[in-house]
Amino acid sequence: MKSKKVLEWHSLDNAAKIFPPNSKKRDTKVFRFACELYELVDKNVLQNALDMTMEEFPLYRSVIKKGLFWYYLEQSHYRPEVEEESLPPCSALYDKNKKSLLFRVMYYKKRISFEVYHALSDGTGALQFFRKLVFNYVVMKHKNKFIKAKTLLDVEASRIQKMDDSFQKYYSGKKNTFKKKKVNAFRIKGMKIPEYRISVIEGIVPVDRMLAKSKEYKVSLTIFLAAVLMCAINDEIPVRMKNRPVILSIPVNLRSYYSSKTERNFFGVIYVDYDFSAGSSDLNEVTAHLKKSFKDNLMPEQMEKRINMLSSLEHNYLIKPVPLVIKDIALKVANNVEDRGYTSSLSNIGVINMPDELKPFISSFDIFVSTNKLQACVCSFENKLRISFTSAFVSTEIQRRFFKTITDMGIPVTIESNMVNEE
Amino acid sequence: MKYCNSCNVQVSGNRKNCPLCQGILSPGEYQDEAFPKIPFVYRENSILIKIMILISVIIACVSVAVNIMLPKGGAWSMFVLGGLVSLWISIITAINKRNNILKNILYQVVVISVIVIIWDFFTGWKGWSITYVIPFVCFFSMIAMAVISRFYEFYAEDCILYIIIGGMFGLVQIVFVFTGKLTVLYPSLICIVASIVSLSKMLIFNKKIFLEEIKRRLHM
Repeated sequence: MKSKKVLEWHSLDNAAKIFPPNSKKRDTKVFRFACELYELVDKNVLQNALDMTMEEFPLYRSVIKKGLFWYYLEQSHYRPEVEEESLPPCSALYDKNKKSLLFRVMYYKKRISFEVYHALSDGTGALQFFRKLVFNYVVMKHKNKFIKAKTLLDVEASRIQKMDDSFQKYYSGKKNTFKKKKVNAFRIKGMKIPEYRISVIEGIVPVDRMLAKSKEYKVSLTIFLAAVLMCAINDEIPVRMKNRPVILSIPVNLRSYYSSKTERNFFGVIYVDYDFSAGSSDLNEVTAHLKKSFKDNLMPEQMEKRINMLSSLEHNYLIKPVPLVIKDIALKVANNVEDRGYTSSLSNIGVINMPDELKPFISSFDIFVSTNKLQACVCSFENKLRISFTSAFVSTEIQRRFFKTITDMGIPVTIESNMVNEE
Repeated sequence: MKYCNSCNVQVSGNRKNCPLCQGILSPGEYQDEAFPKIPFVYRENSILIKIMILISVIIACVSVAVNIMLPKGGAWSMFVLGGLVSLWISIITAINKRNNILKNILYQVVVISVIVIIWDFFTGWKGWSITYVIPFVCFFSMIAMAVISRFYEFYAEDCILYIIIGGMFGLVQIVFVFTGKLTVLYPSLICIVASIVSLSKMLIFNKKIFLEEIKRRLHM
């Protein structure tokens, strides 16, 4: 036996617990960050940059193991290897029969891609790693340009802060009566892409024009995009299902509510709905409704109730000693119920910042996530806003109508996508 | 960059059709695609598995048919079917766990133990399963795991749990010995001795990682 040192380990955080039993080929729970540079990616430099980044982010050395009662993350001896992209986007990372690292780094032409299993981290957490990786890569690649200026990336969080399980920290244990209304959301139906693949369609739009447009509607960018997406979905609803509301699930970064710098999961989900059978399908009316809906849902007390409700399950003395096999079944049922409760999802990661010295090397950033329905992820870098749709369906009508709405407003859109039909 | 006249969008890459409306794009300068083209692979079982499945089907239906024609010898075809089912359970387990040899061994111990107990039970309980088969299977699994973990130089965290559980399985024999269910004792005793030696070796030489592993696996 090799290596007899005592290993570091962590139990999965509250939000991560749902992922391992529900990861399947149809929905791998993997998300991808990508960064497009202005030049071709050099594999060896990227590997060195990755090795260097790993030193600072020990969490990424973890593998998932099964205990008798809970899953946990255990430090491993695996070394990540950079590969040229040869897998479909968001391919599975967690396989219960095969231990492996929970992320991968790939490159293709000018793009560096970084895929992460959601049980390890959420978008904001993984972004810390990815920014550092891109930072290291660019600085290593252009050593001569960065000799003097020892550019540093933001104020770093300490190791303890990064590994922090913030759900545990901010669970107050207060009993509460948080009840979610059970409504059956309209669900998109249609033929799915074979081999569990997903289609990725990304639209690149200028940030300033989009912000100006959402100001016209007197709402934030997220609400504006949510409204456009809802209207695009509305045209898809068959008449006999018109009475079902369109419900969007919107992940919310809880780090902005609590002072947390964790690189593990710390997000909550809010649901906003709009009933097109009761209201008009005019964008003005939808945005007005969503504005109110967001405001109600995002109240700090409301967020706290949500954290407490989910964490109280984990802290329940009757639930703790139940064997994992049974918990798995319960979590699968819970996930199915959850899945039925929303139509689609929109996640805004926000602005991605890089030090000014690096900006001339980077063209854009994007993010998207595995899905068994249709999901949108948004992030911006400089003046490029990338709206990425991933979809398990062959039909691209919703995406087409979404971008049509934007181009009809006079905003230019550039489309990038993967090829899922065999041309 | 290419342009789609019906969607009014620019499309990067070098494709012919618009990803949104599938219409023909107006020509533009050549550009690299953002994603590599990854062809569909139509995965199928290997030819060996296919042949084995076909042979199993043939054996199963032929033996049932022959049994119906010659009913005098009793329902012997049920044994053939039971044998095939047992074999396939074992094969499927081995395939699923192929990436982890120690885990595979443990799963085989469990699968074989359950199957032989069922066989013993349905053939008028003579006790051969718990007297001979299970102790020897446990014994050899322990030997195999000890040899393999030494030979492959596994990391402690990758093999310790399986060695512990393997040892625990062997200790179950103590129950059979003391409840007097066994007429022949030596296989069980060999197995129990091996278990105790294996577990004590782990506790004496790797006490810290042994206890840490238990703590991790049992954390609530």
